[in-house]
Amino acid sequence: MVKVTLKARGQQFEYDCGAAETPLNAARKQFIPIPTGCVRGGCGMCKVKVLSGEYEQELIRSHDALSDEDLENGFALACCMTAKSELEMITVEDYAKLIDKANLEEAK
Amino acid sequence: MPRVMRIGRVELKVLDLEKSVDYYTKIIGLQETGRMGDSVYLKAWDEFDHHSLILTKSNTAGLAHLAFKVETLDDLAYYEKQVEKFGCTTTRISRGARLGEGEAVHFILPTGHHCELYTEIDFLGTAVGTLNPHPWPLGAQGIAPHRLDHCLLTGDDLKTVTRFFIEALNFRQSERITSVDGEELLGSFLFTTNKAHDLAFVKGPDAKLHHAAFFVDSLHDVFKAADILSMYEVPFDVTPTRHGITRGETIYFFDPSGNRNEAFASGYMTYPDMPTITWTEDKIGQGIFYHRRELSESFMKALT
Repeated sequence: MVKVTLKARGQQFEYDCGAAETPLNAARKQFIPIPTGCVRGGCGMCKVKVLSGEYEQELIRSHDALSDEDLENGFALACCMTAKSELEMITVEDYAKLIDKANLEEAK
Repeated sequence: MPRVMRIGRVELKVLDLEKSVDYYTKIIGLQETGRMGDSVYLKAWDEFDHHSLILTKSNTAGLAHLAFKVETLDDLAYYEKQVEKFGCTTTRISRGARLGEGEAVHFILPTGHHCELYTEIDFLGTAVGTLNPHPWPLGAQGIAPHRLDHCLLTGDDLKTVTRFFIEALNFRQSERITSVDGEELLGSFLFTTNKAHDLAFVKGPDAKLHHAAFFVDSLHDVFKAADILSMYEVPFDVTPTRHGITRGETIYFFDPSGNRNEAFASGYMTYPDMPTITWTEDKIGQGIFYHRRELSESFMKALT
């Protein structure tokens, strides 16, 4: 069991995730509102940026949802990955807002 | 003016070909009819043409193409001209490019989807035949739908794509979803047969698939499909309910590549002279899910 810290929908959630389940599945079981779609690595709704920690991403997935470049840059699909250590991750929606905010600060 | 007969086939991009074939044969209950290259061809038991579904291995999911069958080679040439007249470029796909198929006319819809018209395809016959047939075949596997029923696609310019199907392909519009002031078109349901829809569009990104639907007889069969999907642990999007739009009974779920499927029953009959039904955006919840009366995030946003 590892601890996952997830930033989603402007909030921060902390939850436990088992070795045999996906971070998406563990979040949903605990009523954490992680964006969820096909849970087959096809639609990309559960795409996250992993900020810290070790994980294994299932490589058979839609490259529209998660490209090779995304993969290299630490993006993952929460429906088809497993946590190998404590994880800190943020949904792509929240990540985009974070980047926008950082750019805005920089421009000031 | 000749009518386009029906939606004849869809080609879906799949991530793991064997896993997908396993799902579409064992769980959906289609029959594999052939293989060529990275593609597997399938048909439902009540269909008589060589295939209605092609699964093609790819590194993305979604729709590779959909195609409508016309009755004769003359109709094919007629509609080829109609498509060109509308302003879409057509090309001919040669006989033998895919298994069991004759020549097809290819074009790209105003929403970016690859679409074809064809008339020639090998004939295999239904599982029950045409001489003193039984109503359904014994030993069918899985959900065992009668046929491919319709597709829902997403796109930006729904007014133009609607005009394309009505003006170039002689379709009619059974229902539409508009903004409350009626100005903006958010959903468009189109038919060429007597079904409530043969193809539909909702507002969204271009060139994406929302779902491909298979026809089952009744609400009971929709419910039984749901039971089968749970037995195989297939992820659901929507458990059995009714659509306000089309009045169909429905269930939504995902194939192994995340392409959404629907088992669809009933729905009213259409005629070319029926008036178009309008749903306004403020009532879209019950238009789509008549019981729940609100949309869900996954249904609106999960696309392939």
